[in-house]
Amino acid sequence: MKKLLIINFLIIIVGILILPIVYLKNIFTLSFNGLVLIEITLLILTPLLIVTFRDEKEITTFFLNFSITKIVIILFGIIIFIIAYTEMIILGYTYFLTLSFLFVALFIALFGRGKHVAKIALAIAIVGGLISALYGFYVPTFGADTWRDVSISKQIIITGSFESVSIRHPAYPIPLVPLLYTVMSLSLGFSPVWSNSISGFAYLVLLPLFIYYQRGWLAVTRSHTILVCWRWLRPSYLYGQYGSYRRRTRC
Amino acid sequence: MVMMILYLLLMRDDKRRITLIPVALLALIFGHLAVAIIFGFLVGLLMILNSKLLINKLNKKFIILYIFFFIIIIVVLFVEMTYLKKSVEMLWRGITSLIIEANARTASEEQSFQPISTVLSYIPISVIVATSFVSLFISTIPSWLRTLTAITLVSVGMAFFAEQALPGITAVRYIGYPAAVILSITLPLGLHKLSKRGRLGSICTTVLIIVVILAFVFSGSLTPGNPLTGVPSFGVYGLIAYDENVQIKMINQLLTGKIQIVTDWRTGLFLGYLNALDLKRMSYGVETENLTIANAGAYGFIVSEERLVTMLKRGYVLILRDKGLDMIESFTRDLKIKLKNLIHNTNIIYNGEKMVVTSNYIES
Repeated sequence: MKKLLIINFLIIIVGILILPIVYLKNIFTLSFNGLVLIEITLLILTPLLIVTFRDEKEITTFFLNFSITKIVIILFGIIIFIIAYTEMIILGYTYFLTLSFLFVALFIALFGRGKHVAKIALAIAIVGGLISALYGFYVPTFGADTWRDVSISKQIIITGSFESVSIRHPAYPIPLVPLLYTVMSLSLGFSPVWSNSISGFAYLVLLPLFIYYQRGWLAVTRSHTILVCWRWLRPSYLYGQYGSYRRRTRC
Repeated sequence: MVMMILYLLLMRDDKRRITLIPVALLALIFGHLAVAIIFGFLVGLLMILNSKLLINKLNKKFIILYIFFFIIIIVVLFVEMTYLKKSVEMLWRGITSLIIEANARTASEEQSFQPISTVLSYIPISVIVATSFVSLFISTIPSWLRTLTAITLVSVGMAFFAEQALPGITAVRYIGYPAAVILSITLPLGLHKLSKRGRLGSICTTVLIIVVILAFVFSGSLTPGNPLTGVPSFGVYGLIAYDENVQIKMINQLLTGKIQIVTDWRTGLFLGYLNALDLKRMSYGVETENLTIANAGAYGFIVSEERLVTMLKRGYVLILRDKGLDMIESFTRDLKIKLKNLIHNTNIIYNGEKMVVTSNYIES
C-alpha cells in the first residue's frame, strides 16, 4: 500500500507541474477556471498524502471553549436572520456583518463544545435563518423543474382535479412531488411556492437527523457528519461536524 | 431517497426496517423512473464487484427485493408502453441534441464569461474529492466502500473533463454532483482517519474544514449580490427582489393576446408560474396558450446582441431586469454595453425601476 501511495504522490507532483503547460500549449481543452480548480485539488491532496504516510495514533481533537446550548442555537438563528434581513432592507443585499457572523457561527458549530445533535441543530438554525431572510426578500430561488412542479400543484389546486394537469414530464410517471405540494398547500393554506419552501426546510432538518441516527456500518459517518444540500446546478452549503466517533447503543 | 434505500439495504438484519424497503423502492420508481433504473444498475454493479455484500450482509432477502424492484419497473414500463416508446425517443433526441448544443455552446463559449471567483464554490468538492482519494489508501475501510469510492472518483473526473471539452452536456450536473454526494459518505471517514495521524493529521483536518467554511462564506452561495463575495455561476445570483416581483406581476397583467417574450430564465419561469393554468410546456422555455417565453441562460441559451436584434425584429418582447443582465451565461458580456443604443431603437412599453419592457426594433 505504501508503494502505491508513493507512486500516487509522485504522479500528483508531476500533475501539478505539467497541467499549466497543458493549458498554455492548449494540448487539451481546459479553461483557466478548470485549471485553477484542478491545481487546488492537487495542492490539497499533496499534504493529505504526506499525512497518510504516518502511523495511526491517538485521536487529537481541537475544540473551542464555547458550549452549544439550546439558547445559543435559537439566538444564532434569530441573529443571522435579523442581520441579513436588515442589511438587505438598507443596502439591497447582504454585506460584511452577515458574512462575518456566518463565518463565526459556522466555526462555532464545527468546533464548539456540545452534543452532535446540538451542533447539527446550530448549523440548521444558521442556514435556516439565512434562507428565511432571503426568501422574505426575494422570490424563492427555484430551477425549471421546481417551477414546473409548483405550477402543476397550482393547476391541481385551482381546477380541483388531477386529470386537468396540462404539463407532464415523461421522467415522472406519476407527479408525486406536485401532489405533495398540493396536499401541503391545502392542509396548511399556503401557496405551492411556500409549500415547496417548507419542504426544503423539512429536508434541511431531516437529512442531518437521518445521517445522525444511522445504525449499522454506515454509522461511522457520524464521526464527522457532512451534509451537502443541492440547489440549482450546484451545492449550496456544506457542513461538517468535527468530533470523536461514538457508537450509539440505541436508536 | 437513493441514500435512504442504500442505507436500508446495507444495515444489519432488522426485520422492522427491512419492511420499509419495498415502500421506499415504490416511491423511488414512481418518483423518478430514470433514477430508479440507474440505482438498480448501481446496486447490481456493487453486487458483482463485491460478493461479500451479497452473501454476508443481505442474503436471500436482498435478492428477493432486487427481483421485486425490477418487476415493478417492468410493470410500470408495460403499463405505460407509450411512455417507453416516448422515453427511448426522448433519450435519443436528448443525446443528439445535447451533443449539437454542446458543440454550439463551445463555439460561443468565448462570449460567456465566468469570473475566477466561481472556483470558490467548487472548493468544497475539491476537498471531498481529495479526502475521498486519500481514504482509498486506508486499509481499515471495507473493500466494497473503497470500490464504490474508486468508481465515484472516476465519475467525478469524467464529469470534469467532459464539462471542459463540451460544456453543453452539463456532465457536472448529471454525473459530477451525484458522484460527489456518494463521496460525501467517505469524506467524514477520511477526515476521521486523517485526524488520527498525530498532530499533523489533526491540523490538516482542521485546516481543511476551515478552508471549506471560508470557501462557502465567500462564494456567496447564500448571500446574493454581496460585493465582498465571488459570483456563483447559478445558485442564488440574479434573484427577483420584492420590488421586481411586484413589477413582474403588473407586467403580466398587461400581457394580452399572442406574445413572444425573451427574458432571463428567472423572470421567464416566474411568468410561467403566474400563468400556470394555461401552461403547455415548461423546461428550456415556457409555453402557455398565449405566451412563448425564451429563457436566456436556460440550458446554454446565451443571448448575444445579434440574437436579440433578430428576435426583436421577429416581434419578440424583451423584458429586461438589471440583475438579469448580470446573470452569468444568460447574456453576453458585450450586450450590457451596447444595450442602451439597442433599446434606443425600440418602442419602450414599460420603464420601471431597474426594469424595462421593450419591443419592435427599428434600424437606425
